[in-house]
Amino acid sequence: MTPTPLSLTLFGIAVAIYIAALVGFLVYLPFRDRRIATTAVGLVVLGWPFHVASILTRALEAGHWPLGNIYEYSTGISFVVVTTFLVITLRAGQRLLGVPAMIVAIALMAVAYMLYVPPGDLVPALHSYWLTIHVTSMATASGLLVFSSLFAMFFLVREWADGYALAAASGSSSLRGVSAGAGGAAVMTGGGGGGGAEGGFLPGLASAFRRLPAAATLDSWSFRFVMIGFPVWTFGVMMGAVWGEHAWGRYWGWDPKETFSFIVWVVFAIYLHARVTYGWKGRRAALITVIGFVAIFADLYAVNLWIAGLHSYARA
Amino acid sequence: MATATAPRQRAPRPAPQPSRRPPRLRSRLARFWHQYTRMRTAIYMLMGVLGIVLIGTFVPQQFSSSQGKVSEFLGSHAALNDLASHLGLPLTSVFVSPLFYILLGSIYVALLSCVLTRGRALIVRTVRGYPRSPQYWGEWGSWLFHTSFFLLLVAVVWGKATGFDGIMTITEGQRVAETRASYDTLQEGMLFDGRHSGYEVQLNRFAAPLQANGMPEDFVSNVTVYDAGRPVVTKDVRVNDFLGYDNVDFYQQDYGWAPHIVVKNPSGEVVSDSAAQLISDDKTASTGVIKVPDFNYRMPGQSKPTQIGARLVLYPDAQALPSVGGAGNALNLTYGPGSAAPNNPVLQVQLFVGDLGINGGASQDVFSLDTTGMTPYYQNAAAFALPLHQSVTLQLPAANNGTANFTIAFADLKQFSLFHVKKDSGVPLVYATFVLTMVGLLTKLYLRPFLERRRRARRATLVPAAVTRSLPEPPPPRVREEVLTR
Ligand code: HEM
Repeated sequence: MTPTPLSLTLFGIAVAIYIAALVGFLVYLPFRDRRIATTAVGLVVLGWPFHVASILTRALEAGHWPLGNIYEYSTGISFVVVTTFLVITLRAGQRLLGVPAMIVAIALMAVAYMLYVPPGDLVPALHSYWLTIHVTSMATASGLLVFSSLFAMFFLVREWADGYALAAASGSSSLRGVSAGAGGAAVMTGGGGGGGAEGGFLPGLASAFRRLPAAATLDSWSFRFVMIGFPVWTFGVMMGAVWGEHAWGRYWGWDPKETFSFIVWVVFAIYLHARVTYGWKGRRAALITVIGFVAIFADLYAVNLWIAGLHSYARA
Repeated sequence: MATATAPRQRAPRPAPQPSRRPPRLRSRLARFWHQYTRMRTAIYMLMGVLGIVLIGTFVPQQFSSSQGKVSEFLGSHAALNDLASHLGLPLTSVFVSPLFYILLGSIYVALLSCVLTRGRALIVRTVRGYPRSPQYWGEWGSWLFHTSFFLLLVAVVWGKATGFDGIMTITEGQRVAETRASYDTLQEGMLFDGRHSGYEVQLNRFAAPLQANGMPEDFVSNVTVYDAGRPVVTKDVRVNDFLGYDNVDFYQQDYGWAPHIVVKNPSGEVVSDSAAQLISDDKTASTGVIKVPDFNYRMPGQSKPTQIGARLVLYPDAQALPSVGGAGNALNLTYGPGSAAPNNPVLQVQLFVGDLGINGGASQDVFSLDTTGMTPYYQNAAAFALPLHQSVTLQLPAANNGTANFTIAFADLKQFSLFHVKKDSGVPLVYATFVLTMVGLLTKLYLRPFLERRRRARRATLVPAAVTRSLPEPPPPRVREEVLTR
């Protein structure tokens, strides 16, 4: 048996702390005690340096930029997710975001661990600074675009909760046909949380969700992360093309990995168009980013593990 | 703020004019054109592209997946594929299917129309000296972004049409000219002038040092370019380091074993003295053929000269299997594959005698042997083993019921390099469109909001804090909407 590399030990510590933080965020949901949320954020802040150190030591152990296989790549994306979450939460106080963000981060690290590869050399095709730029942009963009989907999912549940509260308030038993757009959300903001005391699962859930920022605000945050993530993704795909040209003499070959990154790109391009033309804010835009979310992870895992292509040796 | 909403529509939009009725057909066309160039249609077309591309990721594709997977798919989904092919979408080649091209074509036509009208509107506004609002710069950004897509298409098509793309294999020590005849496969663009450079490339050495885990650490072809017979460049070509000379680029793509085999006919004459290039998936076992059309011997009772050919299997690190005959002679042992390192190279030779079918004009495939006109040398087409640096002496019938000896020697084991060779002058243009795309996108997404924020900060000097903090607790929805959706 070879000894456990330091990077993996640090990785384990980071995951453990993140799991504790996630538990904290989950506990915060029913007990709305700010101190719990603050502790959970504190735990993420505590775990983060271990995460950084794990990535750095991995780079030293392997002797290359630590995005060369799926273990490293997943760890890298979860690092982007955690960092982005910290920035959002520390600057704008979005604590509830801790639940989905940490679930995504921990899930990514769990997958990383399942697909663990000891530090080692890369196959020759992966020795290239174009590749380094390419994978770094793709990982960053993936991590950022994840947040557009998380905010979109928040939007969807907040919208549902607003509709629920509105229906409850007006005494209507039918929830259908109630849609809370930007205006509705603004009207309802003040009353958030009040109805939770009545008990019952759905009312409780609705009241919990209504502690999220207003639906229109969530929608805007979602858009904001497309705005940040889309150009990075675009740049990353272009750098991938430059790498392909450099390594194999073709900048595009409809290789499954390329194809899927193109799919993700088109999904978010559709999102931008839809938003500009139709003024498709809200629900439909949210659904598009959720499709984008699925596509990003399909690109990452389904394509690498099940569909072979030139890129698939990145798996080894 | 008055300028902020109006220009979001495409500028010259044919407004419905009930009073003046143009001819029916023209109005229909105009309506169609209007619908077609709307962004809503663009969205649907992009969704169509998405659908096709999704099929392309999940169904094995002819030029990016292995042939086996493609035929497997076609075998099990024949009816479905037939139906799809009738609709212009053969499932195993969706990226070159008529439907895909039609869709791309219509997107590009709409895009071009959009880019032209919006570009004209922007120029008109610029010339007339409309105010340089953030909105104005945003529109330039968007215009640049869409235009660069159009230019990308131009660059790709032009590069492919005026260039070529091929595969060339060169064995160690061999010198090959960059001419049409030297390629294993070659696709020339429609506008390629047919003039290949003609310079020669020699593979001096090839090396693929293996790592401890058996994976190659690197593959390196040391090559020298000879232009007009004089050496001009010597370079190590590796996966991420190609050789570019005279606008033609050589990329290291693959490599393989090339056993050097010497055949002497019954007269002792050397009738074949060359390295056969073998192909393999994992380099622990490689296969190929050798053909000796000019064997220069005629068996008694035959009207035509005898030709010989063989199917070859090479194990670079052959492992002797438990011997059946029990003979200690290496030639009688059977072998199986070991590692990819050339520790004990052994060739398994399955020899055939007769007519290779080459002279009849049938295609000459260097990787397969057509044995219809041939008989196996051994019964059951058994193969014999031939270790490196050894030779075997075999017999053919001679006159008067005698036998004539001939020899096959495994003289040397070389490697060959497989290069992807191409000429594509569109590449720098493609990169240029990348830059334009990024500039346009960043202008649209960042410069414009930035200008707007600055402008608003200047106006609202009384409440600067709320606006200038870059990531504040989101303000009430209405204000935030305005900041973000533009
Ligand atoms: C049929 C062709 C197309 C038409 C008519 C079209 C039209 C438009 C229009 C009108 C805008 C809004 C620009 C503005 O507000 O200044 C826009 C934005 C955009 N388009 Fe297209 N487009 C087309 C094709 C494409 C394609 C093929 C892509 C690439 C996937 C694309 C990507 C974008 C992006 C990223 C934006 C930026 C969104 C924004 O303005 O915030 N478009 N398009």
